[in-house]
Amino acid sequence: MKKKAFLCSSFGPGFHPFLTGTDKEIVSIFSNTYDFVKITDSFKDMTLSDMKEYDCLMFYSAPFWGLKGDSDIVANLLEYIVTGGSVIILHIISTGAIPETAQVIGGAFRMHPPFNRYRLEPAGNGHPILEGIEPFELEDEMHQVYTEEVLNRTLLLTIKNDNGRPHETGPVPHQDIYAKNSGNGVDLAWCNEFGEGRIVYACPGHNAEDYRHPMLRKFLRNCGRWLAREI
Amino acid sequence: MNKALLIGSRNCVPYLSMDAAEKALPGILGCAVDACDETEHGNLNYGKIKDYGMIVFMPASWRETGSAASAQAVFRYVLHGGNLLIAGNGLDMGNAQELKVITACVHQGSSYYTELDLEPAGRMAESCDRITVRTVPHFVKPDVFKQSEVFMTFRYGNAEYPALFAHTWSKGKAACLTVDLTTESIGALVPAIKAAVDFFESGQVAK
Repeated sequence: MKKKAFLCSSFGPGFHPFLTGTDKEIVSIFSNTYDFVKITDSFKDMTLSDMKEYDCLMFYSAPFWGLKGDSDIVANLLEYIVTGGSVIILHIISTGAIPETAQVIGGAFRMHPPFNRYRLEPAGNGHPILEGIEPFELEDEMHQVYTEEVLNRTLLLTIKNDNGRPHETGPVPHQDIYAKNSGNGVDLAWCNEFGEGRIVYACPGHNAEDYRHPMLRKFLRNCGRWLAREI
Repeated sequence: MNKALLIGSRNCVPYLSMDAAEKALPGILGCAVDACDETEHGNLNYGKIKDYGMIVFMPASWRETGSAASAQAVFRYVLHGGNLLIAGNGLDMGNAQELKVITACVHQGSSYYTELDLEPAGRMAESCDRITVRTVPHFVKPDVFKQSEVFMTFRYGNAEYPALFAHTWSKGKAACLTVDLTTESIGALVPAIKAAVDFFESGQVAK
């Protein structure tokens, strides 16, 4: 029996148009594990009971901006997580707009370089999500995020510095912004078990084309299965 | 405040024992204080603790005696409006990330028993005198996301560290006192404890 998923995004035009194909790709990636009971651009009135109807809450560029940490929706989301709910944050870590959810999810947006081609590497730590995941290249918008230091996160995907060489394939050649990290990886996806809940953040996926990449799809399917406690 | 809960330890080195706090806190807080020692650290649940007006958290070694379920219980307590004062060695929480996020700091370690001057800062600067106390200092750095208001600081070596800071956390509040509450120190630290209580009850900080 499939698990129940709730998917929320921003429907309007903008930097991450959801209804132009990204929605269909996300649904198709996770459809082996989940029935998408609700796809919406509105979640701020959800009660805890509403949330508990779903095995996984999925957010893609969801409008967390403007919410406060003491609001009912934020408290409900944190209660949902700590008492066993699963949450995946796709691409935009908009939960970073609120200190409490930034802490619990594990990060907040810092900046990103222009859309470009990157080589993503699995973290190599044996986590079940990384079963069968090989390094892959993707043209995408990779976000640099501030990360929470006190969490027991497991890193999943990272980008290595390429010694500061400019990316020739990008529309605007530029010095690799990750050069400042000089040999260190940049966290692009992680998972965590917080309380009884499970959390995944996965940055790759600026548009529908990215979500068609076979290795990214495999990675995200594994994330979905882990969130569903199948692996 | 109707009732408070003290989470501490008895089977530990004497200066980390909860005994002194257990005796002193009812008078300081003006309410009854229940005690939870290490035999019960692993058995907390939200239902048991949700009605306390305040929890004082100062276990000697939560990383050995605490449990994931208990950490979740305290997290939910604060999430739903509770007030949590973490003191001294209580800041050393092992892997209890559910509690560490609430402290809004990164515990970096502690040093030896010494004499410290706790200087009032910020909103406490006009309403509180310096506290000189012999105790063990704990060193923290701020969380990258959650901002706290610092009410007292101490100097150690060439650096200044927060001694008392507080913040809201979702619907609740948390305060951290970064020195150990001991038989010797607790008397001198009453103004700091009362400042935390004031913050919990009114958001104000008074002498």
